[in-house]
Amino acid sequence: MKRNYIFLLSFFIALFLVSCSDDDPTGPDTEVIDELKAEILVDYTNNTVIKTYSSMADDAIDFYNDCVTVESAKTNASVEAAAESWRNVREHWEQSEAFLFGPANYNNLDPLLDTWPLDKNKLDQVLALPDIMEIDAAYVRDNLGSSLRGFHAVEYVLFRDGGARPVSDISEEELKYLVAVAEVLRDDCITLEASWAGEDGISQEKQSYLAEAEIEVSANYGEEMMKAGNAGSRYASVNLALEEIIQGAMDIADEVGNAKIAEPAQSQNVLDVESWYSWNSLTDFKNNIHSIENAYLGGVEGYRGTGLTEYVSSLDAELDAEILDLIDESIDKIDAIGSPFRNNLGNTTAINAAIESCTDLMNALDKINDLL
Amino acid sequence: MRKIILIYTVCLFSIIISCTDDASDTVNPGDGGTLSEEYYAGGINGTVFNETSAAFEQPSPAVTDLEAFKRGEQIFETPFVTGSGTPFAGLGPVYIRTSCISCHPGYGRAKRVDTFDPDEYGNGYLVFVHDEDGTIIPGFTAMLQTKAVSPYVPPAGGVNIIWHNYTDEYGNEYPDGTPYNEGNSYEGTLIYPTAELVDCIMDLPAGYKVSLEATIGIYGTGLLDAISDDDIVAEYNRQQAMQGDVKGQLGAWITEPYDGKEHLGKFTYSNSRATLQNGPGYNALYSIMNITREDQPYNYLTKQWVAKMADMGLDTTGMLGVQPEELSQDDLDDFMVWHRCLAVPAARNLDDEEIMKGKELFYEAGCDNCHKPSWTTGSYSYVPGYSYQKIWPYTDLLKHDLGEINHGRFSHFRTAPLWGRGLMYICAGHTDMMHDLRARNFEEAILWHFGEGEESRQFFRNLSKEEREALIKFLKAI
Repeated sequence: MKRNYIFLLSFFIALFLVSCSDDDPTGPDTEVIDELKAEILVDYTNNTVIKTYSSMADDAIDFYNDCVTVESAKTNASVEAAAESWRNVREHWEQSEAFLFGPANYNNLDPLLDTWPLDKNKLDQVLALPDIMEIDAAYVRDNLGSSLRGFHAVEYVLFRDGGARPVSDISEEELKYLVAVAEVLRDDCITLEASWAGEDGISQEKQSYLAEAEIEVSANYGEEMMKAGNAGSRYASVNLALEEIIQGAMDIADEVGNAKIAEPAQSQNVLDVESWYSWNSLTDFKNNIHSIENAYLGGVEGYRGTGLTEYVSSLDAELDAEILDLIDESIDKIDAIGSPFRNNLGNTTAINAAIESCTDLMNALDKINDLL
Repeated sequence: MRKIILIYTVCLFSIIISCTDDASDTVNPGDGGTLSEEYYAGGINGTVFNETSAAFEQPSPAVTDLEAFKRGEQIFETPFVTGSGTPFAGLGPVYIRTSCISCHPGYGRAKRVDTFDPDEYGNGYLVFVHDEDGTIIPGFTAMLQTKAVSPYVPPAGGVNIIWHNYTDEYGNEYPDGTPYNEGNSYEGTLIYPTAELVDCIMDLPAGYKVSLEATIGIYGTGLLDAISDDDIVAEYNRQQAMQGDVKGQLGAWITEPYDGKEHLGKFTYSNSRATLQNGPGYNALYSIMNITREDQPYNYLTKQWVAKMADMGLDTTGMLGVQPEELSQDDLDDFMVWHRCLAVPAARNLDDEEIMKGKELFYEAGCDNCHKPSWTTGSYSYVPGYSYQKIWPYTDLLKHDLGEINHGRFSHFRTAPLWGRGLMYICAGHTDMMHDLRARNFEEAILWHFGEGEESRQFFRNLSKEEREALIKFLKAI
């Protein structure tokens, strides 16, 4: 009798496994797979996204302080330090571009931080305003649109021809504007971190900056991502959240290859290359691919946890190897174009190879969807 | 033995749970043959299986020139700047927004805002200053400009949006006693906006009105373009012959400049544009940012406004004359490839029991009278793959009167396509609907259906709570 039941039980389990097998061809235990997926969401949220935004906000605080120093010290060394700080913040931002969905999108933080092109004519008008010496962060927030704030606005004040400007070239008005925009940039970076980590999830210091700027953050997107499939999350299932992560990575692979690199290469116009003054574009592109790497490996370097790579390798080791290879290959191929990008738009062979790698990477990432 | 049965039941249950979890997540395009055609909202060649926040941004399978699509996408996403000679230069002298995307969050519909700020991404309110009949007041452009390049001053410095509470004849309550929006922070309320001009420098006649219209999503518009005028006229004739209040109106017949032929209006809230080649997107790329080009060589402004600028002592030399080309024909062509080829996301979970119940109720309520579920497209030379596709937009492309409280610039509005609406929250971060975004969710959108929609509204109100939820779940699935 007992045996019959056990037999019956195994029969039904087998039957259901068969019916599941369409989704799960190699057949690892469903429970194990579900746990793995849940871990991926947690580590992606904490070790990739929040870690990236947290470092970006930390560096943005330093950057603002460095800009204040430029205004008071007025030395070449202080400008160089602020320019270096700018590159640090920028590195994290570019490494966040595999997750431009969510708060970066809904709260307009992507355009507020990284609108291109800069409206240089309008900026010149702002700098000529009679009360420009009174300009502060509140004025920037309330009156200057996205094309007059963010990375490229401060880049204009700090850089020329790929390097820091001599302090003697920077006007008093520009310094005032720099400090005001840097403060807004700092607060926008903190807002991004808070939107994923929750307002209580950021440091006291950062909370105080938000309070000072009267910025309230009600969202906790990280919670939504980690609670996918449960009430309160906009992701109706764990798989939908994973698809979002994959889509974010695919989009930036496509963007780097087929827009950021392809379009200036096609037009042969140096002005179509994003960073007009710092000439930072090639570094930006490589950091974009690192963003995909950090998303795939479940954390930024030094904080890797459980990533999509574990899931993919358990089901299709070949695909996992392909993706890992293409991440490295894309970075190498981008590097091979030669820096600064604007001076190498004629390097067609290298450019086409980089575009091809990025496109291959996008297509390989897309194949993960078939495994979900 | 009881223990074994218990183990058996637990195992079985957990397996069923884990199976259904996977099955309800996504529709696998690889299994295309086994899916009902309704899943293919944009037809076989215009549908993508994507439920992510990028669902409205995908190229359709029919696109043949992906590079052009990508270049066109850049034009949609990049803000224009003042001046000349640099990429994306030419903004102004007077304008509405700096970019296309600022009004179309996630490529979807605009979001509801309390404060009108043209620099705020997602605020896709367009403003119309008009008389009782909807005719634009002389001196204003069709869409109000609230931005100008210094030293010029825009016709109006801004717009105040005022939100009002509305209580329907039932006290915002269903017959079963539950309040509208039960459980929401705004339980028991409905709201609608009015608008007024701020710092207006133009002359205003007595009795002028200010109306708001929000932007519409862009995905799938190429497929709507492919529906033949004859088929829309046939639907119009069907409705005129039908019993009841639903009597759709045809859009305007418009002679298009590019072929000299008459085409039936089917785009915008008032069906005022007939084809995409002279459609809202094609024209907005000129009018919203004031970017001149070969076929639109004049600035988008009025001579009355130029006179005001001259009165203020500003230099207006050449402002009314032919302008230099700020957007090339190649760029415009790329933009149109992108515009036409944005795919429609596939429908989701149509085999779910509750959603199937909701579907039955959708038809029983008569929603399909105006929200015509499907069409078969005609021949479409711009994107040959879009020809003869069975698509599921849930619109009759005709105009209807939804009652006086809903009137804006005009009394009649085109039936809104419903495809993809369930993804608006993930793509655009909101669920605001109707022409002025008065509906904060699907429930409110249904409850604002007065006039020709009254019978369906009553049907919905009289459903049980579970049935109302099922109907909304169906709307979210298509």
